[in-house]
Order: sequence, then structure tokens, then C-alpha cells
Amino acid sequence: MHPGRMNGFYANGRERSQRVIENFDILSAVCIELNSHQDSSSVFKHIVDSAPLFEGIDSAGIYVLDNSSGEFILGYHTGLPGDFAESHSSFKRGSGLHEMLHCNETVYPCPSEGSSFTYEGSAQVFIKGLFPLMRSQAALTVMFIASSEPGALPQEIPRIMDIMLTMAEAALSRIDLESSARRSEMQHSLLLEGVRDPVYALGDNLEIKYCNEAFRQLVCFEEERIEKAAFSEVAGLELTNIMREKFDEALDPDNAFSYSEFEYRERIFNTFVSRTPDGLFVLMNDITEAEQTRKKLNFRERFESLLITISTDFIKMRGSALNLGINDALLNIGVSIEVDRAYLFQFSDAMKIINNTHEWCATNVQPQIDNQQVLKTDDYPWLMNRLTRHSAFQILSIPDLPSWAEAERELFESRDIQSVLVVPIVHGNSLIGYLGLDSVNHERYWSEDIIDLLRVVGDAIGNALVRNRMEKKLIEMYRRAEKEAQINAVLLREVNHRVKNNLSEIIGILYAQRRYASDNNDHDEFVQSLIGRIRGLATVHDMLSSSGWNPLELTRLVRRIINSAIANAPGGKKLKASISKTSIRVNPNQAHALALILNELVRNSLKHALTGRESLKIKVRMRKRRAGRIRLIYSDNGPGYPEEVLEHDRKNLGLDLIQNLTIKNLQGELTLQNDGGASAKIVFRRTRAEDKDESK
Amino acid sequence: MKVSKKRKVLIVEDDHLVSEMIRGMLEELGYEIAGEAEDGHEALGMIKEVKPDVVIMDIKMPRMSGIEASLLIQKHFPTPIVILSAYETEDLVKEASEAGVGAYVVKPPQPAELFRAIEIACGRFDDLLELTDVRRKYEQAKKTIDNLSKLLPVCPGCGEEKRDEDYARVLNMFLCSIPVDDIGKYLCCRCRSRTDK
Repeated sequence: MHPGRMNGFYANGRERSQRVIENFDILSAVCIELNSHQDSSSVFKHIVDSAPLFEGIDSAGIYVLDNSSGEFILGYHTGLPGDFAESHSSFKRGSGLHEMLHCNETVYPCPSEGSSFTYEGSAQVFIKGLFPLMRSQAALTVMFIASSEPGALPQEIPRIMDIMLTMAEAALSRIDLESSARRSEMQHSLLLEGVRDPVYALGDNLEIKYCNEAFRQLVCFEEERIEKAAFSEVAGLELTNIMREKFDEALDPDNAFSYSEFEYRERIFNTFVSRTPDGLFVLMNDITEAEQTRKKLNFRERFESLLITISTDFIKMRGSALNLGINDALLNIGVSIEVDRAYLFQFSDAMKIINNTHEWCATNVQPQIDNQQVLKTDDYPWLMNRLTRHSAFQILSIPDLPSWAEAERELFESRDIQSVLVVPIVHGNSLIGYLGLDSVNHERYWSEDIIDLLRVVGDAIGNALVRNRMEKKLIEMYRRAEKEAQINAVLLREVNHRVKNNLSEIIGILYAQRRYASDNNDHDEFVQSLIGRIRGLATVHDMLSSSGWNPLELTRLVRRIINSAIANAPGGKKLKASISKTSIRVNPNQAHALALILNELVRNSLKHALTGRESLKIKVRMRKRRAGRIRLIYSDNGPGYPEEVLEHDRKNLGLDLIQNLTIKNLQGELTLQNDGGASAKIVFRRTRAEDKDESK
Repeated sequence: MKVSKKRKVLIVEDDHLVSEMIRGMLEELGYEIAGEAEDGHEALGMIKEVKPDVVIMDIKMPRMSGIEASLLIQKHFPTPIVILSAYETEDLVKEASEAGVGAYVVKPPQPAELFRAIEIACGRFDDLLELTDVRRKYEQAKKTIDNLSKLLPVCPGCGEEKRDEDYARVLNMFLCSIPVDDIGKYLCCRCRSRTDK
């Protein structure tokens, strides 16, 4: 019972005022307490429990509409007699109270026929008023206040109930909002924890409001409580320095976010920093794997493009262009694969020798091409064993080479390398060389992809090298054939010229012989001398054509002419020729003239010196003289020249020919004298061509 | 086959036996041998002395080739030249033609072939001499006409009579240049009749 209540009514105005004040004090206390409730049921309970504190109210309760059944169900209640609560636990549609409850309006005071709403049991319950709660909610909730006595309640009660229920609604809304916020935060947390990349939210002072497990792992933060910690403390100096600029950018009023890519702890992050109303939100997207894959794809694409270029270019390349092309290919391979040295070795001399023919070196890496020449393959059995298998191989660490590869170890160590990749170059079934890649600064493993691609480069280089070699051979053969054809054409022209000259000379001999024969009518001698002279011409023509119209050895020429003339001498006579040896060579024109002169001299000796004698000795002496002159002395041991011949009084064809051939053809001098027989001295000049040929 | 006019021939040949052949053939054909030279150099010396009607020249010779000698002969002692060579390349024929050679015969020649070559070379040479003379006369006449045109006493531009000193000087120069033998052609009727008397 309310303390101010006496027999249901206040005696006067002062008491009423006092009562009102008390009721509002109670209301104030009830409302303050409402703020402390954290769930709706306790709010409902609180207002229901608080209602009887006001004067005139003995009991209160809440009916809630069950939408499925359409009935109002009694919820919280206080002060009700137990049988009322049981008998009025629900109101079905059609009952008077149901209709009033359902109108969702304040009903106060309840109609006079409120008795019909009273429970007439052991204790009477008079419903004084109905107050809807949570009008905006889907479930209709109505609070009732009741008294055990009939009659009106104090006049401020409806106002108090309105205020209390409004405050209750406010508390319920607050609880609802808090509940939503908590739910949202939980969902947010769950969502962010599911993110694989580091995510964190920072407050205004760059303190961590939230971070996921990935971020914790990234910064190796082991303490359980990370929230509220300063970002710099959690992230460490390196990441703080990286992120500071990005935070500043996102906090710039002109930007809403910053987006950047950076490397941290050997990972690549694509970082998105977004400004939020109360700080920053950061997502560090780890793109390390994606970047590596992209790099791999890029590398493969570039390398395949390089291969196509190399293969296509090599088809067109010849000679020095091919060398440039190989050097360019090595450079491109070296740069693409990021090695320290790329080079080509080629076999020669039936695979006995191997030479480093092309090389590319990275900056600050020592070239080795000059030190890797004329290497004997027998000295490198292990390397040759591997190469002859025609498959690529790599040596990750030079000291790991087997003991029988001592020479190879020395070879590789001399190049100061850590790892090496060797790709044999094979054409058909023949090994023609190998492509090598050196890693000087660190040990390195080359993937199968790279080896496969290099094998294709090796094939392209191999094809180009073999084709180039074959083309060189063909060009050489063609040039040789062309040169031979040119020589043959010149020889043919020379033969033609010589033959025409010889025919002219024969005609000349005939004319000359006819002129001298006018005094001598001996036909037989005419024919014999003609035959002898033409035979002399034939002999020297034979010698010159055999030598290809090159300079002839004088000794050989003299011996051949004299022996040929002696062979046709009359039988039964003893003839002996002594010819000195000399290294002198004479040109074809001189050889031709000398042959005709010697033929005439021998014919003269045989004709005149052998007359009345059984034997004859012929001597020919040849010597080089000063100023490039040659002296040839022909002599016999016969009776010598008649006086009139020496004094040029007597003319005959033989002497005339000797004289004119010496002067005209040899441009020399002739001296005839008797010195134990006939002696003819011929002096003529050597030409430069003979000197050159002699020096050969 | 004998020549109607006995021409003097200079043989230029470094091979004695080939010289014998040429000599024999020329003598048979009725030519006179003016001399024999061993090469182009000797031929240049002899040609001034023996004044041949025709030269028979080999190409390949020591000291001076037949082509060089032909050029010099045509320049200093214009004479018909017949080349006689065992070579017969197009280049050599062209070079010989450019050197003023009248005929080109390949060794060994038929006598009739050599005869035709000599006669054609001489005939063409005479034509050439005549042509040269005509040309010389033509040039001279052209020069005279040029000089006479300057002596026109009336200016064809204004129709006025020329009385200036320049005209008098040109006229005087022309009158001085008239050869004494030709002066009759330029006299007036009165002077001519006086001269005739």
C-alpha cells in the first residue's frame, strides 16, 4: 500500500500534492533504473513490478498478442491473485478485453462496465487502464494496471504511466540498438578473421582498434591483447616507416584512401588504406605468389618471344652477321635469365679440340673467352662423357663434382663460378658444341622450363652454325671452280695464241728457208732441215704447255733440246753432251727463243763439226752474271767456225736465225768464236717474273 | 694478186720467225719492205726515217706495245696501220680501233686477207686525209665569212652607215690580212681593170 494512501483517497489538496510529488519521485527512480537494464525482459519485468508502487494500483501485467493464434497471452504480471493469472492467461478473439487490447490505444479509464473485466473470484481485480507498449513493433504488447478496489485512480496516474512506458520504450530501443551493434561487430569480426590477408583498423591516434590473425602473424605479435596498442609498438619500426606515408595520404582531406605496393619481410603487399569516421582501415593484400606467377609468365613470354626472334633471325644470318647474332642471343639470354656469363663452345678437328667462340658477361664479371681456347677434349673426360649423352646438365656446386672430374673442377674454378648449366648443341646425331651459363656470385638451380627453352636456342644456333659451315664450304668450292675455270680460260687463250704464233713461225721458217735455198737445190736437205726446225718448235711447245706456260728451268730446257737434236743425228757417231746445272729459270718467250737457237746450234755442230769425225763433244755452260744477266756458252770440240762466218761474210739460214733470234727475241748479244772448237756465247737479261718465280 | 701501186711497208714484230713470215708474204704480194722494227719504240724511230705507206704492227711487244705505238704514230706521223696479232679479244680490237688502227688481222693470215687489210687500211686512211683537208678548208672559210660579216658597212639594227673608229680598225686589220695572191678577189672593177692592163 502506498504510504500516502488512506482509505483510498487523500483528504485534501495538500495531501494530494504531496501524493503527486511522491508518485513522480517514484517515477523518477523507476526511469533511472530503466537505463541500467540490458535486455527487454528485465525492462518489462521492471515496469510491471514498478506499477503497484503508485497509489491506487495493486497489480499490473503485460499481454502480448500471439500472431499465430491471434490470442493475447499474459506475460509478466505482479500482484494478481493466482487464480486470475490462470483464468486470464489468454484472451481469445471476440472477448471484450481482446478487442480493447487489440485496438492498440491507451484505454483509460476503462469503461464503467469494467466489472465485466473484473474477476470475481476469491479476490476482485478491477482493470483500471490499458497502455500499449512498443507500438511500432510487430507483436502487439499491452500493459494493464489493476486494483482490488473499484473506483478511479488518482488523476496523475495515466500521465505517470505514459511517461514510464515511454521511458520503457526508449530503454527497449536502446537495448535493441546495442544488441544490433554487438551483433554487427561480431559479424564484422567473423568476416575479417576469414580474410587471409592482414587487416587492421586504427583509431584516431593510430592505436589498433582491431586486427586479424594474419596481421598478428605478420608482425609476430604474441601478446593476447593487441587492441588499443599503438600501431608503431605492434608493427615495429620497419612497417611503421613504410605505412606512415600511406596513413598520411589517406588522412589527407583531399583523399579518401591510399593505394600502394611495397615489399615487407620478403613478401609483396598491395595495400589499401581507407579513412573511416573514427580512424583508418587497412587491408594488406599479399600478392607475393601472384607476383611470382606473373613474373614467371612474363619471363616465359619474353623468353619465348626471344626464342622466336633468335630462331627467325638465324635463318637469315650469314658469316659475320651470324657471329653478331649469336653474341646478341647470348646477351639476351644472359639478361633474361639473370646469369653472370653466357657462352658458346664449339668442337673442331674431329671433336679433339674445343674452343670458346662466343661469350657474354654481366657487368663486373671477368670475360674468360681468351683463356678457353684450343682445349683438348681428351683432358676433360667427365665433361665429354656428359656431353656425349646429348642431354643438358647442371652443376649446382662445383666442389660436389666427382673425383674423376678433377680437370673439369679446375676448369670451372678457373672461371671463378659457383654453379654452371651446360646445354649440348646437337645437329642430327653430331655434337657440335655446347651452350653454357655461369653463376659466379651464388649457387643457383635452373628450372626444367629454362633448360627446355635453352635447348631450343641451342638447336637454333646449331642449325645456323651447320648451315653456315656448309654454305662456307659451298662458296669455297664455287670459288675454286670459278678460279679453275678462269685459269682454264686463260690457258686456252694462251694455247690458242701460242699455236697461232707457232704456225706463223713455221710459215716464217718456210719463207726464210725458201729464200736461202735459192742457191742450194738439195731438196732432201731442205726437207731434213725443215723437219729439224719444226721438231725444235714442237719440243719447246710441249715443254711449255706441260708447265702451263710458266717459267722453265734452263738446265732442263737445254738438256731436252740438245738430247732431242742428238737423237735425230746420223747413226754410228759418238755424241756426248755436257750440260752444267743451274737454278736459273727463263720465261716462256725466252725459253721458246733459246730452244730454237740451241736447236740451230746443235744442228750446225752436227752438220759441220761431225763431218769426217767419229765423235763429237758438246758442252753447254750457263751462269748468272751481274746486273741480272745470264750467260750461256755453247761449244763443241769440232774444227770451229770458218773465218768468213766469224767475219760475217758468209750468210746461211742457221746462223741468221741464231743471230736474229738472239737479238730480236731474246734482246741479247751473240758472240761467235773458236775456242777448241766452235763456241757461241749468248748473253741476255733476266726478267722480274722469273726472279719472282725462282723465289717461290 | 699483186698490188697496183707498190707500197712501202714497215714491219713491227718482236718474233724473228714471224717477221720472216710477214716479209715473205708481203714480198709475194708485191709490197716493198721499208724496214723491220723489234717493237713500238723502234718503230717510232724508224717511221720518221723510212716514211712507210703502211705499218704492220704486232700488239704484245717489249718496251712499247703496238697499241701505244699506234696512238703515237697517228698523233705525230699519221700513217695507215694494220694490226697483226695472235690475240683476238674484243677489248684489244676496241683498243686498236680507238688508237686509229685501219685493220685488224689474226696470225697467221692468208696472203689475200693481209692484202685486203693493207689496201682497206690505206684506202680509209686516204679518205681520212681527204676528209681532214675538207674540214680544214671548211674551218678556214667559216672564219673568213665571220670576218667579212663584221665588215658590213651598214648597221642591220638602225640602218645607219658605220663611221666609227672601231669599224675603221676592223676594216684595216682585214685588209692587212689579205694574202697578196688573193688580193685580186677583193678589188673594185676600176682597180681590177687597171691591174688587168
